[in-house]
Amino acid sequence: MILFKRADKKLFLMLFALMLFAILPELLMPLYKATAKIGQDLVYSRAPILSLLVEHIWLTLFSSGLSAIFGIMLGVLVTTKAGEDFKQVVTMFGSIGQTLPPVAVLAIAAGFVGYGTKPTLIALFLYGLFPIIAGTIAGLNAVGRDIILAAEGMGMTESQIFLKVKLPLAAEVIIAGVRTSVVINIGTATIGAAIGAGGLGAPIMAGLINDNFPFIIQGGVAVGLLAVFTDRLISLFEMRIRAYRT
Amino acid sequence: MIQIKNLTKNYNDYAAVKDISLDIKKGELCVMIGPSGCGKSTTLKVLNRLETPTEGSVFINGEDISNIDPVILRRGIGYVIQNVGLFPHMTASENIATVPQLLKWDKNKIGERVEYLLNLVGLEPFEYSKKYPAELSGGEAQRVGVARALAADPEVLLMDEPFGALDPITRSELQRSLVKIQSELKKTILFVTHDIDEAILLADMVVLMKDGEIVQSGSPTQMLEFPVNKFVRDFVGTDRALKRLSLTKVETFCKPAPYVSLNTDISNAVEMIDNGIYIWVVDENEKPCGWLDAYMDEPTGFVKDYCTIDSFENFTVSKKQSVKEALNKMIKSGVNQLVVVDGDERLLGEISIDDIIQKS
Ligand SMILES: Nc1ncnc2c1ncn2[C@@H]1O[C@H](COP(=O)(O)OP(=O)(O)O)[C@@H](O)[C@H]1O
Ligand SMILES: [Mg+2]
Repeated sequence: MILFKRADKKLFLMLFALMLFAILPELLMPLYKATAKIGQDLVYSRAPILSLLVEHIWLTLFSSGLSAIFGIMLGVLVTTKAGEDFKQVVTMFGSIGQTLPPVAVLAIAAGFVGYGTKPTLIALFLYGLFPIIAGTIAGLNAVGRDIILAAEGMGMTESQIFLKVKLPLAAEVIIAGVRTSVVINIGTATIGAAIGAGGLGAPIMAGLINDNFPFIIQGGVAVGLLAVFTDRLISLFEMRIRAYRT
Repeated sequence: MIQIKNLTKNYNDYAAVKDISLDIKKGELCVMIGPSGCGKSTTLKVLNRLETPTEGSVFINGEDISNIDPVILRRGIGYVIQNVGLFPHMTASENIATVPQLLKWDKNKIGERVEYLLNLVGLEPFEYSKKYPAELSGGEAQRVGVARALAADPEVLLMDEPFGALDPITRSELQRSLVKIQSELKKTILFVTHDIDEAILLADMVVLMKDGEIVQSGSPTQMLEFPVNKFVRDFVGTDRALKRLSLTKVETFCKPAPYVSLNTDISNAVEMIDNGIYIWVVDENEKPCGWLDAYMDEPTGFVKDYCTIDSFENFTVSKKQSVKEALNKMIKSGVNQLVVVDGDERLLGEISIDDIIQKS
């Protein structure tokens, strides 16, 4: 991938830290010892952190992927002449979804489809939709009126204007919306563990229930590292896109 | 080439353009001028079907444009707008290549065309072709804008206040470039401005508009000499006479003048001055180099021993320059007359301030 042509030190450092910790959570043993109560397990043992990390990545990747596809589509739709009337409705639903606490969304989704991965995916999907719709609308609306007038005046068709002008110019802001959404989802996905979706939320939940601080640290550190790594990764992608505009 | 017949354009109940008719001949540069909001841009947008007329019709090359697919029509018409509207994610070359690419021209042909156009608008291809709009000055960006409009060699060019956002110096540079390009390419151009000096400089025909209607149309000289009403008089300004002089060439007022050469015997020169007060002096190539005043004490020898030598630029004008420029030089140098020279810098005659005042 062109992205990695110019090796990004920070990105690799983050990836390295994440993998190292997922394989060897014992690295922070002194911290666990200092925070554990007498007689408590120090390292979460029901599943290796690495496999929880893989589960977590799947959860967010799948839900954010769907959010990106539908979010960008909806955002594009409401910025066309035909879809203009739906703009209000779509942004309203999006922002309502965003203000509901994720636990509530999760509970509602569980009410419909039962426990496990499914309701978690639905909740994350809905939750991740709004930043992407907002980013897409903002990005497309920011393309200058004169640029579009020139494109139209030169004889580009509607779809050429969209593909050759609007989309490339809006891409950076759209991807920024996706980044926000993904990073939020990485954090929010931890609550999926409460209804049995697994992922890095599992040690955190277990820690909360059993008052075991080391477990919370293990889940939290892994989620944190995953979030900063992903943020960096997508940021780099944004910068690459921006490079075309100098 | 372009015929506008009884064109009316309403926005809701508001008439932006009211029943205007206009004929623009092939190869003519027509300048549409008028206060802001008088319907100039609207008229232009009707011509490339960015707006649909409420009433009336437009013919280009005898064909009713309402019968032409807007996309096809637009690809055959160059369009330049005030804020340029270059695509910020494309280089200068890619911007210029837009329409040829839409028309699916062959790659090599596009490359050659882009290079030709960059040269035409005064941008060195090697330096500019890879630059992004953000790296261009306002003037350079609009040069690219003009090149982009000319890319597919359209017969018709629509320019909507193309130089309106530029500083005065850059603006006059681009105006001069346009004059040069137009003298080469002879496009049919409808050019919108609200700057009367720009209109006078560029136009073959001026169309003055007000509140969606044409108030007067005609050659720049006609507008200046015979304004039909107070609005036109006010619009062209109180310095109408001066503006007209900017349209008049020096040769109009040039009259023959006696001259002597540097090596003429001074007694012959004195004879030639006769009852005048001076005579022009030229060098061996008949290039003016100074003058000889009549009052001398018993002169002997040659003209070169008595004449005043001055630098060429200070006291000469070319026959192709405007009378306004000649007047400007007279005022700056504090003289009443200048030598008129032809293209080879040879003496042709002289122009005097008295003649300008009496004959214009
Ligand atoms: N899309 C539009 N909707 C409504 N009114 C418009 C629209 N475009 C232009 N107008 C109005 O039409 C009039 C003429 O506009 P325009 O042709 O842009 O003027 P000019 O280019 O001479 O400054 C103005 O009063 C303007 O407000
Ligand atoms: Mg206008």
